[in-house]
Amino acid sequence: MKVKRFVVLSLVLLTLFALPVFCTSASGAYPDHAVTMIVNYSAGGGTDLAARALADAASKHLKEAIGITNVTGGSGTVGIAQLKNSKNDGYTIGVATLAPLAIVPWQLKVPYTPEDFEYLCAFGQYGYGLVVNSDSPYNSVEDVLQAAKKAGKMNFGATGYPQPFAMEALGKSVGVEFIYVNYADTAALITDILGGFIEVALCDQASFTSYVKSGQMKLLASATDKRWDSAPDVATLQELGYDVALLSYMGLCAPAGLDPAVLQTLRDAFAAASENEVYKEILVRSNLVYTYLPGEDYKKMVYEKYEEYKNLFSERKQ
Amino acid sequence: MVWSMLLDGFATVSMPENFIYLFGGIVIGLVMGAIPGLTATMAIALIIPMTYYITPTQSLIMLLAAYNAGTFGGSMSAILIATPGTPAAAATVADGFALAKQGKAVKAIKAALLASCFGCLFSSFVLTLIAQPIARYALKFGPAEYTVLMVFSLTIIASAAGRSLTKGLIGGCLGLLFGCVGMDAVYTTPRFTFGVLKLSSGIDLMVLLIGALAFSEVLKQAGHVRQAQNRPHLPAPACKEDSQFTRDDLKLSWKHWLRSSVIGCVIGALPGLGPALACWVGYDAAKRSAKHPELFGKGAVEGIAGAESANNAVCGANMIPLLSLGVPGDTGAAVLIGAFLVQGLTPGPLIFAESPQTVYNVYAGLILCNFVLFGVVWFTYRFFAAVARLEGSLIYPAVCVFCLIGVYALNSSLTDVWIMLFFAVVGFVLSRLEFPTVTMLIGFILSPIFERNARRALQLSFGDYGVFFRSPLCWAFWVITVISLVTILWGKRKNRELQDGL
Repeated sequence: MKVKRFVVLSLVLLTLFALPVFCTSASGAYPDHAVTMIVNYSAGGGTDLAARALADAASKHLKEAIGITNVTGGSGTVGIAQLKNSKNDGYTIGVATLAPLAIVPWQLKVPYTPEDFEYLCAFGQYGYGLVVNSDSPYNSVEDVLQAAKKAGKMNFGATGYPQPFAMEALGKSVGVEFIYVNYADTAALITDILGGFIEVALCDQASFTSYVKSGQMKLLASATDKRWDSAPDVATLQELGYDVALLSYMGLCAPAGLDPAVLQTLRDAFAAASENEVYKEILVRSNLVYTYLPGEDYKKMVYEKYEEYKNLFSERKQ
Repeated sequence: MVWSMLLDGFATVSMPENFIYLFGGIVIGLVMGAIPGLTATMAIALIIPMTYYITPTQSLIMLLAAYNAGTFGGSMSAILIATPGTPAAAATVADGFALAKQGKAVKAIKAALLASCFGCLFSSFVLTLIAQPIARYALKFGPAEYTVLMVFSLTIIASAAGRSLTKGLIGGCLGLLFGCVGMDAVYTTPRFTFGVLKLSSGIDLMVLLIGALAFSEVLKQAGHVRQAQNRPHLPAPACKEDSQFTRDDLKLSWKHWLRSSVIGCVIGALPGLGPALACWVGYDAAKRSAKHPELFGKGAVEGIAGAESANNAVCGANMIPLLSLGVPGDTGAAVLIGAFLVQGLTPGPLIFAESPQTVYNVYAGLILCNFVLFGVVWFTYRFFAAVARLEGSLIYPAVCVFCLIGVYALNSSLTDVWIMLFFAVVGFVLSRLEFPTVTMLIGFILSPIFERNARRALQLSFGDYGVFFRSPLCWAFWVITVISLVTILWGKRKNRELQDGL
C-alpha cells in the first residue's frame, strides 16, 4: 500500500507541474501568446539586464509578453544550442552573442553553425581596454611594450576570447611575446590587478569601468573601435597606431526557417524597442555600449568573424 | 559623523515605505532559500528586474534581506527534510536532521536561527566599522596565498571523515575528481565532458548537492517505505525542553558563534570563496574545539552553531570587498553589482562619494534585517515545523518533486536533472558502503579553487614553485596546515575507534 502511495503521489505531482507545457497552442496571427527569450548568460549579469530591458520594451510593440529563461553554461554556448533545437515558430528567440557564435566553436565542439539561425538584430556592443593598476609605472601602451621588450616576455590577464587575440596582435607588431593568463572569473582578475599580482590586463568595459572611474586602475587604451564613454580622453589602440580593434556584440537570433513575415514582425519590434529610453539608460548604466545593427548586418558580421577566427585558431595550432 | 549617518540610516530604513521592501525581501528569501534548488543567489537575481523603479535604498535593503534570509532559509529544509535548501546549509544537515529525528526539530531551528542572526549581525558591525583596512589586507591574497589556504582547507576532509580516514579520503578524492569536470583553467581544454556541452562549464554545486544529499535520501527512504507504518516523518518532542533553546545550549553555543562569525568574516572578505565553503570551515572549527567532538553528526547543537554563524557571517562580510574595492566576494555579491549599476551607483570606493547616505542605509538595513528575520521566523516556525508531523510517505514524494523541479529551474536544463540523478545514485552507493558523502562535497567545493589558483600562481611565476613559499601569509598557512595535520593524526592515535590502518 505504502509503496503504491509513494509512486502515485510522485506521479501526480510531476504531472501537475508538467501541465502548463501542454496548454500552449499556436493559432491565428503572430503573436497570439507569450514569446520566450533564452538568455545565454546568468541572471543579473550585464547581458541579462540589457536583454531583459530590451525584451520589456519590445513586448509593448509585440503586444505580447516576452518571458526570459536563462540557459547558461559552456561559455554561453548551451543557451544557443538550445535555441537551435527550439521550434522555429517565432515563439522562441534567444540572445546570441558574437563570442559563442563565432569564437567558441573553434575551441569546443558545438552542435550549431551560424547557418542554423535567423538574425533579428545586434543590440549592444561590448567594450574592451588595456588596464593596469593605478600604482603601476606604466602610463601608456608604449611603456608596456618597452617593458615587455626589455623582459623578453610579459604576462597579461584576460577573462576569455577574443581578448587574447588583441594582445597577440599588439605583441607581434613590436616583436614581443605576451603570455595569456586565463581568468575564467572576472572578480579574480580584478583582485589580482588591484593586489599587483598581474601587471596588465585586457579587460571588458562593463566589468572594469568602475575601477577606472574610481582611480583604482588606469586605462591605457581602448581596444575597440570606440573610446570608452567613461574615459573620453583615452585613445583607442587604432588611434595610437596599432592595428588592433576587438568587436563583439550582443545579438538576437531565432532558429532558422522562420516564416519571413514573423521574422519581419520581430525585427520591427526590436528595432523600435532599441529606441526605448529606459532600455538605453540601463545599457549605459551597465557600462555597455549602445549600438543597433539591423539583422542582416549582424548576420554578415557573424559569418565574417566565424571565418576570421577559424583562421586565427588554425594558425595557433600550427 | 559615522554614527549620525548610521542613525539617519536606521531612521530611513524603518520608514514604512522602505521597511516594507526589507520585510518583503526577508519573506521572498526565506521561502526561496527553504526550497531546495532555489538558492539565495537566485532570489537576488529574480528580484533585480523588479528594482528598476524603486529607490537605491529600497532596492539594496530588499536584496540584502533576501540574501541573508535565503542563506538562513536553506537550513530550515536541511533540518526538517535533510535537504539543504542552499549550498551554504549543507553542513547543517548532519546535526540538524539528527536532532529532528530525536524530536528536537524546533530546538534545531531555533539554534540555527540564533546562530545565523548572530553571524550576520557580527559581520554587519565589522563591515560598518573596519571594512576599509580589512579589504586592503585582503588584496595581499594572491593566487599563491589562495593555493596554500586551500591546502589547509583540504585537511578539513580528514577531520570530516568520521570513523574511517581511508574512506573519508577516498570520498574527498572523488570530490576533487568531479571538480575537474569542465574546461581546464589554463588552456580551456574540455575534460571529462564526454561531448556533453553542458558539462564544459563544470558540474553545478547545487546539482551535485541535491543529488548526493537530498535525492539519495529519497532513494534510501524509498527502500524503507515498505516497512514503515502510518507514523509521522519525525517524532514529536518528548518534553518541553526539546523544543527550547535552553540556557545550557547557549552556554555550549556562544563560543562557536563568535569563532565561526570571525571565520565567516574572513572568508566573506576574501573574494571567490563564499558561504558554501564557510559553513564547512566553521563546522570543522567547532568540531575541533568542542569538548565532545564525537557527538557531532549525531545531533550536536554546537555543530549547527558553528556552521550557521559562519555562513551567515559571509552575507555581511561579502559587502566588505564589494563596498571598499568594488570586488564581489562570491556569486551572490556578483549579482548584486548589477543591482547597484541599474541604480546608477558604482559599487566600490566611488559610492562613498556618489551617495554616502545610501551606504549607511545599507549598513542599517543589514543590521535591522537580522532582527526582522528573527521576528518573522520566531512567529512562523510552527508552520514550517508542521512538516515534521506529516508521514514519510507524503514527505519524500514531495522532496523528490522539489529536487527535480529545483534542479531544472536552476539553469532550465534537463541535462542538469540527469547529472543530479547520477549523483543521487553515487550518494546512495557511497552511504550504503558507509563512505562519508560530505567529504566528497568538500573535495568538490575546494577542487576548482585550488586548481585554478595553483596553476595561475605557477603561470605568473613562469613555473617557479618557490612562489608558494615567498610571502609571510603563505608561511602562516603552511604552519596552520602542519598543526592541523598533526592534531588529526594525534587524535587518531588516541582514539582506538578511529584506527583503520592509515
